Amino acid sequence: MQRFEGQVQLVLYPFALNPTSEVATQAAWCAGEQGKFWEFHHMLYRRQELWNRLAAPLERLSDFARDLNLDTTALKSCVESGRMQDRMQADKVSGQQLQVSSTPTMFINDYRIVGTQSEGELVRFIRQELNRVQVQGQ
Amino acid sequence: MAKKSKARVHTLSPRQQSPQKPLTPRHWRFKLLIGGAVLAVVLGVGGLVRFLQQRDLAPHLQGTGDMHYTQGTPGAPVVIKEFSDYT
Amino acid sequence: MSRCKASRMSGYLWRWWHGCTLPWVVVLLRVVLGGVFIFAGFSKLFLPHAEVVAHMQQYQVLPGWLVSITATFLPWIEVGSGTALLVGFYTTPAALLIAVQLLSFSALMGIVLAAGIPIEDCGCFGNLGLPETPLQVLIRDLIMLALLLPILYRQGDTLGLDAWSSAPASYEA
Repeated sequence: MQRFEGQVQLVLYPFALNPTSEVATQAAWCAGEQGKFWEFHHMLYRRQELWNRLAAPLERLSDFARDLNLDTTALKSCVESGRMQDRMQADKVSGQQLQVSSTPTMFINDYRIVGTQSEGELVRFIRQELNRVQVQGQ
Repeated sequence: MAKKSKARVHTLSPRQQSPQKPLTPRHWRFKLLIGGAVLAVVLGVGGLVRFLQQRDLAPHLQGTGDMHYTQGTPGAPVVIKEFSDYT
Repeated sequence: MSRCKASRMSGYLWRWWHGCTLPWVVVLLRVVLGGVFIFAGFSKLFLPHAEVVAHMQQYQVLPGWLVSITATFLPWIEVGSGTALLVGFYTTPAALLIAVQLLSFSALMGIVLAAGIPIEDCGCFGNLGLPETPLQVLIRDLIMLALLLPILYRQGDTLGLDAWSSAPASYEA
């Protein structure tokens, strides 16, 4: 993002593929209500091995939230209330309409990329799209 | 006097002796026409499926909700929409 | 094996082969194999191109440029060859093209199994079919190759466009 400052925007659509991921997604959004969505998001990936095989990961995720100085009681009650279910469902529907069936799937403007890409590949795709947009704009 | 050969000689009937065009399969052209048409229809349906899918992509991308977390510059020329799973 | 047993076995094999090459059996095989390939091709056409590329990339066998080309053309080849086989249009070339595809898929699955590359779903039928492991795909493809033999033997002389077009020639005065 720093390399393409002013030229690229990233929009994140958490696309839960299983119940464990659904809990993590809702927890991330609930952390966002406390102003720490991105910190929680990065932490989920950093510590993925410690929680992604649990059937009920909320307790473990609450422990992690404590490290980020989040209100864990509020986080837990937010997830357990199900307030984020509609949002999650809306993203699922969006993904299904776009025929997203595996993750990560990225759309660089209209160009679809499926699967994990190296940084070099991503940079190449972004540069290609930037060139195309600039040519169109001329 | 040389002995005449008694080998049997195959003679053409009068109908066969008349000049004629080379033999061709009777429905060869029809086969190409029908087979080609069937293939064209099936492949055409495939092409239509692909076209409709691509045509519907942009509106669906624009229709995706606004309430999402972002990084980078709003209104940037390149927008990356990432669908990812935490597990 | 005694001569008696050997001749009995060859008799069974001959009867089995004779059964497989009955016209209605060959037509059924053409419909099944052609239908499978049409379904496989369309299931890939229903997917976005990038999804098909991602399915092929998971095999880690083909170089990147070949993955893209294969993902582009393979669905069309599957649909075209499947259709031609099903309607009996240039049956032998269609069957040979399908045989080449099956041999390629089998070889690919063999390499994946030998290399121990973990693949949960081959992506053979896009999102429309059941997920298949490489071993399941290999077995299925070998069976389908065997089912092609009666079709290649009869060479399109049974119900289909080829048979219709090879009706007795007529003389033109």
